[in-house]
Amino acid sequence: MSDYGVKISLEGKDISSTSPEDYLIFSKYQIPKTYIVGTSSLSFSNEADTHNNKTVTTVNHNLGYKPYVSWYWNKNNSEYGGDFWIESQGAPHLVFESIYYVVTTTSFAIYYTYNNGGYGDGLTGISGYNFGFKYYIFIDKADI
Amino acid sequence: MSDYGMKVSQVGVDVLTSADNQYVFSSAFGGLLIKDNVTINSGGTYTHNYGYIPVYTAEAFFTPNTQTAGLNVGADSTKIYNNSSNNLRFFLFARDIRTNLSGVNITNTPSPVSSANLDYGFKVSSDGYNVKTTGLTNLVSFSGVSLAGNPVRQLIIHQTGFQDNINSGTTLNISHNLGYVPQFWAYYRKHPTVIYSPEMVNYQVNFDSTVSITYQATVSSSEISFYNNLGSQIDVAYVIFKDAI
Repeated sequence: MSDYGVKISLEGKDISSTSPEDYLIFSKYQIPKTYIVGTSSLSFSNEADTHNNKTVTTVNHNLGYKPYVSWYWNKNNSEYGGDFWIESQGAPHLVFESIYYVVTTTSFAIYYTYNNGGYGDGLTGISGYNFGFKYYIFIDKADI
Repeated sequence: MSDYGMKVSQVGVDVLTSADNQYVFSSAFGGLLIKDNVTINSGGTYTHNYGYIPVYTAEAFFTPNTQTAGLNVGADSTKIYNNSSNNLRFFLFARDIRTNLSGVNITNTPSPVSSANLDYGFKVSSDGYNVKTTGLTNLVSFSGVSLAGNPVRQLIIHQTGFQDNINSGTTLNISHNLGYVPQFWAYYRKHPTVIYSPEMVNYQVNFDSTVSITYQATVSSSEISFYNNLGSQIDVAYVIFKDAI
């Protein structure tokens, strides 16, 4: 292995350091990079509508592997005053229903799944809710 | 402090007028290096032995039309724990979760994005890969665009910090001074445990009155907030990025 590459140390840190904690870029180590960024939304027209499974959005990334993704969501645009952006690296658990993402080697999709599962009627009184989503598909490989 | 460093703007943006959130990276701000990228099976652990609790993420792979649950994961100064029912992929970063970094704004005024003369930029490949021929996954850093036309950017840290001993029934608000709703990662640990978990653990959304929120981390254009109703004190830590949601 040839000893070449690029490294940029953080302010006040010596460029001869061997510790990755001291660097902004060190070509021995990968850096998470956003690749595709987008938004989507989900609305429920009435109570009965919350009992239908839905595909919120599907985005083709065509990377050929499962990338790392991150997503955020809000309720009724309350992020501008209501502080309701919620970071969900895995899946938020809505107790009766789930909003979650699925990553394949070619696409990213957000789903809403209804499952009363013996718990009852699910999300009562949410027919006026609109959900907004922001998703980040990274280049970084996260295959299991 | 001497005024030197390195910065690369996203495709089509003049590096001299770029807003903070239009850089691919800038040495004026912090970043995250991936120290380990590992799969941990359900119920398993990974020993990292960093000597500090690292910033980390957990990635799950679900299948359509299935009920999902929050991920039960955690980290301490020696290990990562996967107590979820899923096998998960973890990114461990070379950064102590308990690091204070004040948020600094240089400019948040967006610079115009040009579509002209885009054939220049910056590209660094991983160890052992030819920068001229390797695929995207083996590039450490580069300025470019995705097939969807999005500019590639590294995660640029605006502000990090931690706060201990937040009482149950209270909310902690921390200003970030960005003026927009930023992407963020947040973690908490419930006393007396020493394990930090991402915010989605034990999170329940109050969509109907039968469900109560026990913990949540949220963000607005001015602050990040931690609400604790877990019945005991919690410690929290956060990373706020220069990236508008």
